[in-house]
Amino acid sequence: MSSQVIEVQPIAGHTGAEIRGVDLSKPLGDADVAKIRAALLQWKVIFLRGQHITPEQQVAFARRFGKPTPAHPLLDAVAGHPEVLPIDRRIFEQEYGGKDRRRDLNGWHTDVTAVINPPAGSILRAEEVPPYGGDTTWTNLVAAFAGLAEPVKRFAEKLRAVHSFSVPDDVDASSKIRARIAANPLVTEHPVVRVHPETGEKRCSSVRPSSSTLSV
Amino acid sequence: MAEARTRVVDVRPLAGHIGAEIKGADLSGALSDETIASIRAALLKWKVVFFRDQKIDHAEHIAFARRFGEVTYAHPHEDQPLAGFPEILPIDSRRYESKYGKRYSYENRWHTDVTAAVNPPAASILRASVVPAYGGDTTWTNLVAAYEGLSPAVRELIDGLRAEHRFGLRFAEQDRESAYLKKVRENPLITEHPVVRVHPETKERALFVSPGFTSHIIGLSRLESTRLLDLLFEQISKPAYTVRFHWEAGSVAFWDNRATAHLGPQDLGHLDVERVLYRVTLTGDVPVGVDGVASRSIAGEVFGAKPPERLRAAYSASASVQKVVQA
Repeated sequence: MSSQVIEVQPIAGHTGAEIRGVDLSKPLGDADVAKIRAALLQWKVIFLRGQHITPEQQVAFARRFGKPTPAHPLLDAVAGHPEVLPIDRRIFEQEYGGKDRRRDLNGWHTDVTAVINPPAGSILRAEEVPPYGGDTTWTNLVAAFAGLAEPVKRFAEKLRAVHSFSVPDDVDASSKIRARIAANPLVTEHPVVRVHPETGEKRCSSVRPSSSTLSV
Repeated sequence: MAEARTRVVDVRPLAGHIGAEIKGADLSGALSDETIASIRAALLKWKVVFFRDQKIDHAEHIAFARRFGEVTYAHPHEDQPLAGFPEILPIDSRRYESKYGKRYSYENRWHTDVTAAVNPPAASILRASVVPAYGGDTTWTNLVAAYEGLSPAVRELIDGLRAEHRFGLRFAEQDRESAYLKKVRENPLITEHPVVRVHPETKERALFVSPGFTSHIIGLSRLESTRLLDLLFEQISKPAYTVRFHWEAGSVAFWDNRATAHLGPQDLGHLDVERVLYRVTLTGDVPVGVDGVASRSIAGEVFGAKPPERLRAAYSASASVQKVVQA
């Protein structure tokens, strides 16, 4: 379990860095894990290219940083891998009842903020992707908060918002996902400005247009 | 004989609606007509094309641009053209510092180049010289895809509308006073363009408004204009229609200025870095709306190879240096 030579290459001014020199198919030393964690806290999202790992290896890697959650409170896991959530158009078609239904869901969001304790980190692995198109964009909520005017910051700090798991109005009433939401509604009130538990930084608490309503 | 026809360039799309990287073209050399035609075809299809690792100087940059049309003077407000190269507009963090205060781009919002002119450039070709190791990306959006993404009722509403574009729209609120800005105010550049422009080559309809230069929609109340423009600005900036490009020294971006808007770097304000790029633009035609009605100039001159009348002296000085360089 020798330490690997890890390089952190930032890729934008506020958010994102590529980590080089790590092979996730091999066990990582504590020093490597610490370096990756430090890069994650600094750059908020980190990317690792050319990793050919199994779901087991993905979960083992995740375990080095904390306790993996079940795949999702409302959605099915990959068969045999209860911690792994598939992001797969074919499965969305079954759950949402139509090919294009998910298109309107793709607004900005933080994962699973409808629960009282949203995940601390998400680790997403690409298996099949189109040759072009399909990019994902991340935003740094600490930088976004820091960029607000002082009076707006002070105002936002006092607010709390309700987050709930929902789907767009045009998703069929008969769809699997609607039945699951009805049986198990997820609703939480969060602070609008969250203090990061590790860095102490303040960040906007992902008020997403589709699922948050301000409580006054 | 399909096998005998070698593909002159390799076009690799970079996003679902916009952007492709072109490999296999050395812009410093004499490119064949066939290569130029395939670059033009890729440009019309992907709206912005990128070339990496090009080792070209100002003269080669201009020569490449000339293969696609007439090259304009640097900019309608450029009063200190580069010695010998009056066609080159420097996007230079150091030069901006003296003109505007610290900034990295001449317009900080989404914009289409020089739409305050009655004939905005047909295309822009931007080459990176000095860029930071990270940060400073530029993002482009496909105005045709943005238009097509609107519901039919909204498309019908905006098909008949016209909007005013002006240079220096938001200087008062964000820039410090300077002799340069005074000159910009004293020489207004204002045009009324159709909100939906029919592309002269592809015949596609493009949503031809952007927050950098569009001031208001004609014939609407101030409230109606503001709200409708907000909707249209949000539409053109949806990530779905965009591609983001990380610059390296020697990177070249070539965009169809009739079908795109772009956003300069937003993430350098907290970094102390140098960023120097050079832009060349191709003379454009006067936009035409869905109803066939052309844009109308309200103030300012046509933007072409000749600099505006008041800048001719500066131009002559720059051009005479060119003659010396060439001698």
